[in-house]
Amino acid sequence: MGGAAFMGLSVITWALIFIFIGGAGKSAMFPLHIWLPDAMEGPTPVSALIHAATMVVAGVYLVARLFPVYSQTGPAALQVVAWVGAFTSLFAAVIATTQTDIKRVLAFSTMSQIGYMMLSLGVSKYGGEDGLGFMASNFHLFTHAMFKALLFLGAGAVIHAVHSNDMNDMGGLRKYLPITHITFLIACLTIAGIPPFSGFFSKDEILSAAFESNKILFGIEYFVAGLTAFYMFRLYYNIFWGHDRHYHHTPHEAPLVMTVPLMILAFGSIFSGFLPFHNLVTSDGLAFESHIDWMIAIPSILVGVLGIAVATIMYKKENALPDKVAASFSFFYRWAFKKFYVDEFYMFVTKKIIFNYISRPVAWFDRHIVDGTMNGIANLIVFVSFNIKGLQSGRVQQYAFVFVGGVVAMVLIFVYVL
Amino acid sequence: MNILTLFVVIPVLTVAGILFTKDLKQSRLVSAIGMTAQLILSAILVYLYVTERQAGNMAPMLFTFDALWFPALNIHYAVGVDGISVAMIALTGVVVFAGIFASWKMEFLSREFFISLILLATGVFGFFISLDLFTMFLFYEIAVIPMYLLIGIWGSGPKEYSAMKLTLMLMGGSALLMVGILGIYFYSVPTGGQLTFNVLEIAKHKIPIEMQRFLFPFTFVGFGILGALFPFHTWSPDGHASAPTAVSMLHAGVLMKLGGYGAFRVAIFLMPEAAHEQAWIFIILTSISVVYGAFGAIFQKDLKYINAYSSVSHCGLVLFAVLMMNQTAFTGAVIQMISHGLMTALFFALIGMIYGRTHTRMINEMGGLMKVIPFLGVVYVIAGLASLGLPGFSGFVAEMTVFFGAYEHVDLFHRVATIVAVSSIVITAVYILRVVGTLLMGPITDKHFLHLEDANWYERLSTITLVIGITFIGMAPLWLSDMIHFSLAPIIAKLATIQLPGM
Amino acid sequence: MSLSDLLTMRNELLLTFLAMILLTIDLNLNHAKKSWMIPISIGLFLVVTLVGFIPQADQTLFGGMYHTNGLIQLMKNILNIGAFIILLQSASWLKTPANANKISEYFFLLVTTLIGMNFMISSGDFLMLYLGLELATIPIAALAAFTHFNTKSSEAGIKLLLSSALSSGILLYGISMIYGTCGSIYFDAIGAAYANVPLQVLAFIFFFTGMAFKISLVPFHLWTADVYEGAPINVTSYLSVISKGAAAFILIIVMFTVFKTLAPLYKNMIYLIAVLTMTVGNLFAMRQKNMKRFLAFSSIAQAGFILLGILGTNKMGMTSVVYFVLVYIFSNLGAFGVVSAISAKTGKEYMDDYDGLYLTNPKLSLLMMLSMFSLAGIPPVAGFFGKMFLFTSAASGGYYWLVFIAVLNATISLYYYLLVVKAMFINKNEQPIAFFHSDGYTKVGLMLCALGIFVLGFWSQVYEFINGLTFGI
Repeated sequence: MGGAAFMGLSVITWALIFIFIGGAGKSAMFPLHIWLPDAMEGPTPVSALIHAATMVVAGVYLVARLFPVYSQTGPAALQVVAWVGAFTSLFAAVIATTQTDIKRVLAFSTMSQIGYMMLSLGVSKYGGEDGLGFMASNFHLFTHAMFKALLFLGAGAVIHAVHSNDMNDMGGLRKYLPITHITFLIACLTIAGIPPFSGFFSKDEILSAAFESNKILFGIEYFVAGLTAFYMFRLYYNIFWGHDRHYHHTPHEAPLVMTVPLMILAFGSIFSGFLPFHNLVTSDGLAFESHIDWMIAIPSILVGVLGIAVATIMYKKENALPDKVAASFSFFYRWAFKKFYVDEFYMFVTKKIIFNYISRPVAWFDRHIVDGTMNGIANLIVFVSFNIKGLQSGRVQQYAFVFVGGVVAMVLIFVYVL
Repeated sequence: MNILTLFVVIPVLTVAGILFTKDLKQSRLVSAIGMTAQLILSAILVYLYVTERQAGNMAPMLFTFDALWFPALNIHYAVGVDGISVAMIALTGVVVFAGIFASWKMEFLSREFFISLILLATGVFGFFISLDLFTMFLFYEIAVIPMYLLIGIWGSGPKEYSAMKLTLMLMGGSALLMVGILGIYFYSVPTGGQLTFNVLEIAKHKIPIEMQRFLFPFTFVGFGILGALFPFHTWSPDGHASAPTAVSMLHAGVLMKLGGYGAFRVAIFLMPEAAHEQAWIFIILTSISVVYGAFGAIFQKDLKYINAYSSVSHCGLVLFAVLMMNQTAFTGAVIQMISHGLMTALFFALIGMIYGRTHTRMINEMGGLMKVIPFLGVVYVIAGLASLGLPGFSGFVAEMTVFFGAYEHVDLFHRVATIVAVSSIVITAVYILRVVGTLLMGPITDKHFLHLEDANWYERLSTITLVIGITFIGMAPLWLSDMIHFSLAPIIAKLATIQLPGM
Repeated sequence: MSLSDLLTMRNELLLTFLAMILLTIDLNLNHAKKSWMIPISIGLFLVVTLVGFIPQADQTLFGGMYHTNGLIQLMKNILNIGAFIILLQSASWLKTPANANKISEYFFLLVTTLIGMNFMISSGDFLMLYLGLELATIPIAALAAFTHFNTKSSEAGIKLLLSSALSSGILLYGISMIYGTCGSIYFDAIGAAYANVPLQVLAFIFFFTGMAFKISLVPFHLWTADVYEGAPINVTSYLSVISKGAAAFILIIVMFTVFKTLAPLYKNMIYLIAVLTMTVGNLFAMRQKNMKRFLAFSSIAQAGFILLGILGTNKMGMTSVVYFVLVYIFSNLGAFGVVSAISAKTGKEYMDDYDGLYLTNPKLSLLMMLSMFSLAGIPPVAGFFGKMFLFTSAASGGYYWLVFIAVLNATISLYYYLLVVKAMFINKNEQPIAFFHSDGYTKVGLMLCALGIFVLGFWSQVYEFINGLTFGI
């Protein structure tokens, strides 16, 4: 089946690309990502489970599962995976810096982190140490599940306390929600890639793998790491520090049944980084040795710290700096705030094009042309029936004339034609 | 008596019984008893069939019975079943059963209603068991003509127009079919030999190719009109929308399958050479049906019209699969017939139940019904998910098999047609989920709906029967596909004798 | 010639006897007891019909002018059954005061036409055929004008007389040409001598048009609608069924025996006329609101179908024609019976009056529906089988496109037959025709029709029996 080629890629490469596209929709990769922010309307535990930890990584799992095929028979497809992953993580991170709904921020953060995972798969090769990217991707999937679920559940506790999703309605909550505050902070540190939390380890492996493979991709992901730290701490500060608000109902800490899971997940976020993943999940199933490459790790820690620092300056205490920054980047800011109008584009295509230009004409065509033809045939018959009624005139003389005329016609036909 | 003849005798006895009843309660009771017996008989038939096959009986048709009827023309009353027929009979049994219970409250002229409905069922059962083309055609017409009364008297909306249009178009289809059947009859045996109407006998010989080229379009389009072949499908939207609930259930669920089954059993089985030559025309038409029906459904706002266009799309897929002419595609076609039959019957039943409560079929007038009538809401979601091909339900099995089978052709034309047909999955998802969302989710739009009653026992019986069927086939399709697989052997053998490049 | 030879003409003799007896009895009945004629006539006619079923050996009489065989016996029996049902249906109409003193005349005239038809079918030469034809036609003209004070009825009678005079004239001209070219008017002798000489072809055409007039083929059908509408219902049913059937019978026999050498030529002509007849019949029937005119045009279309049988110039062709005529008799008489019962009771003859009939007169509506379905050719009633076999016979000659046109026409005809069903079952009516009981005769007549419609299709013995007697070219 592999003989034919289309646009220079073999059939199997195309097949793998299409399979990836299917997985990309599941994992909210650009441009099939628009459902994820909107899915945040659902209850927070649902977001935590499905949209953070388990379902949304199904696309990554799909590529990982088929990795032997990808890496050995269709490596070109992996290029697609890598670039889509990288682009998505950048795209999502930029948008996340502008959103005010805390769950939306987390949604875009998820997108961005999954972009990391895809990227990591895309730059990986098969077998042993070449399979570093594969291992790193799955490692990050694992750790991400912990800290992202923690973030969502924490957000749920906050929303439960404040009865609003918008970070503009929050501030100074560290006094009221201590457990939530601490666990949330731990998660933010993890995602920012600060050692010794787990996020550092997994992200570092990814960056190493990217560095080995493609410097541009590495550069993008490096930048995104900084952005990640920035927007996560922006989120953190806006919720727990910032403006000390006067609340109508005093926010109270979530009940134990909600905080215990937070603590469990925080524990996982802290310690899961120490798992020797390179012994457990590798591209060819065999363990290999892996070390922290401090050449990569140190810069990544630094960029994380830088992001945190910028966020602290801008958001720890309430000030006018964020608005000034936003104003100076106004055009870009607006675009990012509107999620680059991708949603509007989709709506345009479905409502205006599919609905108006395809579906409506199809329905019209069916009713008026196709059905109209059927009705038309019927009407034609009735019309003919109506118009030949003159033939039956009631006058015997005419009958006789037609009779004889018929005989003559028959004679002529018979004798001359037949 | 031959078990298959019972399938015709029981409905006739039920009709006779109804003649003695006096009111709704009695007539529906008699109908229910009769059709429950029929359902049980269908189940017994499935069981007997499977046992026979496992015992090693390799005959192409089982439980055969043959009686010479018109010696001068060699017309027989010949019946027999194979796996495909058994599956279709089981489908009909289930849908008719569900239909009777969905009509539990038919007050107006109830005796006549049940009589017409069961006469229709008789025609359908007779069609599936027949092996003689004449008898098949006889039952085919018996199955169509009660539709006129059923829609005209008990329907809604522009019922007279819809009924007349449906009847005339379907009869027009049988006009084409009659030409085809007569042609097949006169060429059924090569030189000498007694002409025959028997399908198995005819299949042993080859009809001359020139006649095949002429007869195949007649026969295929003749059946295709009933199977919603574009552009002859326009009887379907109005017909289904105007018909009462049980009639729509039977019509979309079972009657339209007569078209698919006939196209397979008669047109392609007896004239495979011409089918192979001319398939491309009809593949284009059926691919259009599949996508066109789906796009048409997006635009509709009336629940019944949505479902009617959806049926056009799904039944188009059956014909599409049949034209692909390989084992996998044929299997997929049969599973799709059964799957869609159950699904669409379920849909129409639900629509009828919802309409009976809200007195509107326009989706923008309803909303939030899941909170008010949860049982019906959940079943509606199940039906919708099955329709868009969610794994776990029969729709997925059917569609996957069809597409796999269609994709087995390596040439560009078939591949493109398959991709076009596959795209219908997305479009189907659009209109299904849109309806589910608008109808069931969200806030309750009309405060009058707050007091609606949820399903009562006969409605539950009706819907659950169908859901069980859909789920069972979805979860455990192997028994069905094995049954079909074996029965496809004759036609696959026949196809193998023709030179078919690219298979 | 011995007495036993003479007795082979038993149908004709019995009918003649019957006619005489009826006149005699009528003279002796006083005014009050005139209505006794009805049971007497019907009873005696039943006897005649039953006697006809007694098998009889083939025989030729009068030097070949008259012959009888199994097929001819069958045809006569079919006509007798039809006439019997018509007599039953006429009973309630005859009891109305307008007809009080014309009852025996009605029976007498009817029996006389039947005698003529019998002779026509049994004819062995053209003279007998012509005699029978005339004997059949002229009393019908009188019957058509039966309600003489009704202008439409008189008009019907005159039109029938004039039109049949014209057609008989042409027919006779044709016969004379046959004699001129062949030297004989006996069928056997002519059949052997017929060749493709233009004059003989002309003669054939003239003969054909004469018969086509009786069968109401296009373009010789124009008299049909007016006569059917004007004549009393039962006369109309007689015309549409018995007269047409008898003409069809003799036409097919003659065409298969005498003119068989012309078969390749006349097939195309029949093709054309069949298409024209079916189409024109359907187109006109679609718009009719008067039930009698409606049934008139419907019967024109049915005649077109009969021609399809003739096209299959073989045994199957004749069998399908004879079978179809039999089925058609029952179907049409079922429809006419209902129309007649309603007309006799209420005087209403328009389709709009039939709205909502099912709710008040369910049995009548059901029978009407069955008749409509049978005429349209819908299973499971006999009409389906009749039409199917006609189509099969045409297909056997390879005329697939004609079959296609014919089935399309059948679909179009279904439309107007369904209009009647629609009126009775679907349409609502403020004042539907009230429920009424029909008298015993009508009930028996209608039940016979229902029985025929149901049974004749499924009971294959009927078709087989007919098939045993027919012959092809």
